[in-house]
Amino acid sequence: MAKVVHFRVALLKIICLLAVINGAVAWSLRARAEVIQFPQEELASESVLPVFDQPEAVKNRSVRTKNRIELGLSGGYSLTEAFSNPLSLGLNGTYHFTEEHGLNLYYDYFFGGQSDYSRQLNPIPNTSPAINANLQYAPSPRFLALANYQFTGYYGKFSLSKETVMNLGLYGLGGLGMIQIGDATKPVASFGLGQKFYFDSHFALRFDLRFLAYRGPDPLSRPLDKKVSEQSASYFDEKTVFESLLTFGAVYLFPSF
Amino acid sequence: MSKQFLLPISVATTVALSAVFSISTISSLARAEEGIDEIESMLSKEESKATPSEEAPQPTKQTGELRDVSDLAQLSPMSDIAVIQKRFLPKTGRFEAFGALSSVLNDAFFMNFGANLRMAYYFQERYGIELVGMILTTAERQVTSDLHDKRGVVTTSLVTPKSYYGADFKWTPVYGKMAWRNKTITPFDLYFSLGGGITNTNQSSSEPTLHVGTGQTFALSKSTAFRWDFTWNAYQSKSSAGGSAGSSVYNNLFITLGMSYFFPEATYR
Repeated sequence: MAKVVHFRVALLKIICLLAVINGAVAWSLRARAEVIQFPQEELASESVLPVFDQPEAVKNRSVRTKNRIELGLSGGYSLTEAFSNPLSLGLNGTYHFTEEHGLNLYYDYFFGGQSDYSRQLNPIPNTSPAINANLQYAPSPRFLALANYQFTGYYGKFSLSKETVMNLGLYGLGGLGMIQIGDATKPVASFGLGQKFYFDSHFALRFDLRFLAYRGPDPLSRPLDKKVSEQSASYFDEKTVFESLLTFGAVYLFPSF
Repeated sequence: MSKQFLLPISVATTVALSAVFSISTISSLARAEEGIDEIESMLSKEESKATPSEEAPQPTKQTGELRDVSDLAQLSPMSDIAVIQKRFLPKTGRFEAFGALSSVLNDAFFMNFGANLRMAYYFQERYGIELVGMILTTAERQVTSDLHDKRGVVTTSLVTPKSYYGADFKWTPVYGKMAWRNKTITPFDLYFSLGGGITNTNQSSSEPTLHVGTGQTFALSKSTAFRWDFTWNAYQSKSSAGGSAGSSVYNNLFITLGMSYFFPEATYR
């Protein structure tokens, strides 16, 4: 019996000793773990933000547009202009509030004159005696001024035959403006889309396709065969005009300020 | 007797408490170590990212045999480096079936809408051939009916396309990727096409046609893509709009939007 008690006491001592050692070791390790603290600014941001909740597709943009002004010159072609010269010269300027949002101002000067179709109607075919349509005396577009919201949803880069890399942006346009037709100035609504191809962080080629809608004079609503000079826009009835304007030009992106 | 029972109970309690304490401590320690490992791995990643840009040696031409790691700095730059290496939608040896809607952008007198079907085969990533078929519906614009009704112009002589069939050679020199709002990436190709075919007009004539185009293919998956195409068709046709019944060159600009399906399934690395 005494041996059993002695053995149990010895066993108890061993267990207590092991428990104390175990606890001491664990406590010391725990204390060591708590001592290690990193300053917040040294921690990687990925350790606090889940990677897939806020994906960032482009880590380092080659062309940053935020707070930058862009100016450019372009040539335009009115795709569905029936009777006037479809060619024009345009100036555009864009201020980029952010990488995506911007304000685009566009001014287009129309060269004026007749289109090929209009010339073919002087005289009108198969009329006897010959009658000239004289559509050159109808009011034609003089200028177009637009203020557009520009949303650049797509930004990317591409390889040109594996030799060089260029950047590009794809954007949508929507806005209002004024168009002068003859002696009348009319409000116009516009929307469109375009693409820019950047040679570097400053120079780019810019292609825009804009659709225009406005109320303007109808050159066929009044006879012009007896007229000898351009008529006022008020002489004609009005109609809703849908026009599409294709422009191609170059732009320069100024440094941010 | 009570001591005999108390002793094992106290021993068991001590052991249990010690075990629980140890487990909780070790588990918290493990969590802390995991956190430390994670942080250290991130910091080491950051260091590994930063090191090459900070200490990137300017490669020079290889001057001799490499004897040490430091001699790697003497290596000449590779002459053929793919700027964008991974092609998401490979095309070599594959067919592309393209179905789309088309419209003529520059016809002042008619509105033309229609269906566009194409089938392409790519010999290489950059080169391929494509068969084109397009059928258009035609409607007069207001200006055309006004010319007829108010000025007596015979508008039935105005020429407009009704259909086009032809074949193109496709050259795809540009491959890139775009990010939508900096969240998702869409790979794309930009191509140019040159070919010819036959345009059937509303004057019941079939005219040989020069076909020049460009467009972009945005990959949605490894077999499907959204594609837009901008095409210029030029052909000569007789017209009596000017009263001379002579031939004139007509230029049609088509905008086409549709979907492409690539087959068979490509083999990937």
